[in-house]
Amino acid sequence: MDTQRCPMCGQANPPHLEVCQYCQARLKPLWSEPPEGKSSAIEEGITKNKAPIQADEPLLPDWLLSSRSQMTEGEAFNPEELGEETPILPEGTQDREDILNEIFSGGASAEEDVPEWLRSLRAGRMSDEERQSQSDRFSEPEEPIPFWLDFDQGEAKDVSTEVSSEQREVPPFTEVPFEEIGFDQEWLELQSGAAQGLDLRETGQAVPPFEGIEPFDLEEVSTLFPPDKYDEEKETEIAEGKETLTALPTEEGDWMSEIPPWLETLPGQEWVEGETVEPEMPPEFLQGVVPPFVETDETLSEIEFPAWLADVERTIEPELDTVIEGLTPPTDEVLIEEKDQEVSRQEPQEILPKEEIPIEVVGPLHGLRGVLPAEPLVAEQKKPAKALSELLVTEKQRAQAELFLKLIEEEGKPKPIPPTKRAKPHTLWKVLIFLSLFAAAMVGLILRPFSSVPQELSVAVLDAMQAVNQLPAQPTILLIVDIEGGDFAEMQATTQALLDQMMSRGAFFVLVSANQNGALQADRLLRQVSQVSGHSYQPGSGWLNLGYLPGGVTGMQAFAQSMTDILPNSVDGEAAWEAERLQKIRSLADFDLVLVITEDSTRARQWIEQLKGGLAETRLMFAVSAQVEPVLLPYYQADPRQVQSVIAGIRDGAIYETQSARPGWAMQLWDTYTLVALTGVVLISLGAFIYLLLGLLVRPKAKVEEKPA
Amino acid sequence: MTFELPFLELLGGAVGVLLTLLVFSYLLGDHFLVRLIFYGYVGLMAGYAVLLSFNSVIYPLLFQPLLRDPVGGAIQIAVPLVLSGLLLFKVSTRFSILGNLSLAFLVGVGLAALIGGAIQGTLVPQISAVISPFDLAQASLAAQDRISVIVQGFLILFGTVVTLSYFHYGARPRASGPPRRLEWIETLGWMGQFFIAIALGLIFAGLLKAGFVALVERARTLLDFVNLIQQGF
Repeated sequence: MDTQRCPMCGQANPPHLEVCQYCQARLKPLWSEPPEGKSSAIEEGITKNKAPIQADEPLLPDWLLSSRSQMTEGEAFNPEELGEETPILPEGTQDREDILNEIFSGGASAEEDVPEWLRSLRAGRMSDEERQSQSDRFSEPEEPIPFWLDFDQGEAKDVSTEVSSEQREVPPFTEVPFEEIGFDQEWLELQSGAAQGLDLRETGQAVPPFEGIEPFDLEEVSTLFPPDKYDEEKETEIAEGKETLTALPTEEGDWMSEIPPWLETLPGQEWVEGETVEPEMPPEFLQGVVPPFVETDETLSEIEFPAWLADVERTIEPELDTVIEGLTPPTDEVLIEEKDQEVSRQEPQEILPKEEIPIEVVGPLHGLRGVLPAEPLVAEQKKPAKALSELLVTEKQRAQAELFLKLIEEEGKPKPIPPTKRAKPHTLWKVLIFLSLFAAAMVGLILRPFSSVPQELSVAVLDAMQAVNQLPAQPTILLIVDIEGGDFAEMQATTQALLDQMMSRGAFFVLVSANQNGALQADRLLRQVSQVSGHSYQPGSGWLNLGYLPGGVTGMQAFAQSMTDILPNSVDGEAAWEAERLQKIRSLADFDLVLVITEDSTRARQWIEQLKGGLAETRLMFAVSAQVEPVLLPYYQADPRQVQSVIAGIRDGAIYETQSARPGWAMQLWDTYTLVALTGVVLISLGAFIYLLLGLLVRPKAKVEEKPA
Repeated sequence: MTFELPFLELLGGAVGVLLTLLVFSYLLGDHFLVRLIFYGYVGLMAGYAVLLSFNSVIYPLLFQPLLRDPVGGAIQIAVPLVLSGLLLFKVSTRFSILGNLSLAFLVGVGLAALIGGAIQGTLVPQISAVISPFDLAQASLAAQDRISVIVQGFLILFGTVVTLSYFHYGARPRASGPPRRLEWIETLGWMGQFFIAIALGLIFAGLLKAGFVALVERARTLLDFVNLIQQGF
């Protein structure tokens, strides 16, 4: 392609540009993406203070890895072929050439001390002129390199030949960097044999050049071995046989002396060996701010940075360490140690293989692995460990939970009620009380009369008699009956004389009930009264049953407001308000009297409240059970009265019968009722006395028992 | 020997006596025969209620208007019919919300009627009744009767106040101990217990008297049946 697109802005750029001309983003990555998923290498400067990087760690540039792969695959070393594929050697080739020559020559100064075997090696060395000519043939005018890159080159030149087993390692360099130089193949084999030891040379095994050079640390090497002293020491050691080239690592090489092709094109200042070091003047816009740079023999770590740069370094150093820790893959020992700790914690976690660590493919960080916590790595779905799915509870907590579950299970199970010791005596007492009352009733019914009927006057009864006596002839009376079957006897005894008197005046009854049994009980009541009193009242001619009034309180209110619409028909299905006796009845006020018969105090109160607005209090009477009397007396005894009269219980019924000279059901039951009530009073008094006596006997006993305690 | 009594009267009396004795046997404990009578009574009342509701409510209010005037009747019963139909959804837990409209209408109207009637029919008249004994201008009584009425009025007023004080549950928090009513309200409430006990005693006495009457009536029924048998044989 003729153009390359910027990964940041997407604009097309000429292929030779390193930086986008539109957004100034880097077009070519600093590190190319390694082949076969291998990671890129890390700059030497980043790892300078870290643990040594292993030779097999995926932090090498692709060009170095490709070189390694070629060498390991046993491809024949062909300088010419490589020279065709390899780009032009970068700047500094000349220097490195000299250094290599010095390595294998041992330096001219120590010519006399060189052993015999080394001289043989030097005999096959190319002359300086030949090497210079070859170097010139492959070199071309380079673009100026910035002084900082040049500094590295210089350092690399000085220390690339320095090796030490104690030095920290850098990624090995297995590529043949100087194949363009045109070393003699035989000479190279000899050099490699020297590098790998005499044993290899004896076996005749072909070893790539520089493969056995161990990684090194530029700073430390340069510090420990100054360039001017290195040659002497090296030759001395070789001469003494203390150290041979076999001591060198067999897999490492000087890769830092090699500058990638893309790095050559970076703008900067060219540095040529032998030039007079002159102060490097900063750009015009930085002059006065940054002091001139002077190339010295000091290593980078020994250079005293200006104060502002030291501050910057101190500021970014923690962050840089953090980044380095994230970038530097853990060593095998660290991984094993971490794995052991995880196993001990029983929280196994997956250690992602290095191949799964994502590599940045776009942007300035292109080619770097694990620089940013990419989302797939962070949000990776992992199967939860088995240990996490189990509750971490103690035995005590587990026992408490089991006890709690057991309690819940037992709570839902029905438990038989334990028989109480008082069951039999309680039943006995009930039976005895019943037999006493029933015997009294039977005695009263058999042996009557043995008591006189009540003779005293009752204001309520007199008011009721007066209200009935004031009724016109052939009155129309609304009879509201809300009673149940169990209270029918009491209500019949209470109201028989009253109804008998009304029937004597030719009253026509309109029956209505707010409970479902009321209509039936009302019909039964009128039949009984008519039969006992000797009247010939029949349904239709004597009364009209409207039946059940639904709706409770709402029905009562609606009936009080518009009774003809609420209950238009009788229980027989006839049009109720079209009857002959009801032609003039259209509202409650048209009735001559409203009589409410009930044994329910709540229902009695509701009728009072709902009928109040539609009926004068002088026309409202109540005949109720004895239990309702306390509730209705405030309405009756109030001033002004809310009801005309209240007849309550068999006593008022008997009084009414006595006063009206109409013996009826109440007087028949009165003797027996009196005897039973007397028996009841005796039983209640006896029970209260016994209870009091037992209490008096038990208390001192309990006090005696409490004192010793 | 001839059986002169009507068979149905004898049968009815025998059933009545048998049922009465079985109900009395409840004193000895809950057993199958007692439960049979109770369930039979409930079933009879439920069946009677259904028939009564159809005869007293559904037929006259639903079918009769339609039979009399189909168009006018339909218009008349449309709204009640829809509201009643919505109430049927209350039997379903899924669609019970549809019946809320009808139920809200029923509850709202019922409460309005109940509260309105209680205020107009009970609260206001009873307050007036408590005050009226102290209205000496309207009392055309002798001086001795006036004193009696005033004393009675004070007693009624005192009873009303102390009874209402007993049902006053407003309490103030205390620094030490649980919240407690004011001391004077506590005293009035304590005195109100006596009035409440008297009122409840009266109600219980009335209930007891009603029970005595029912017992006497049942005893008489048994005795009449025995007499009936004696007369028959």
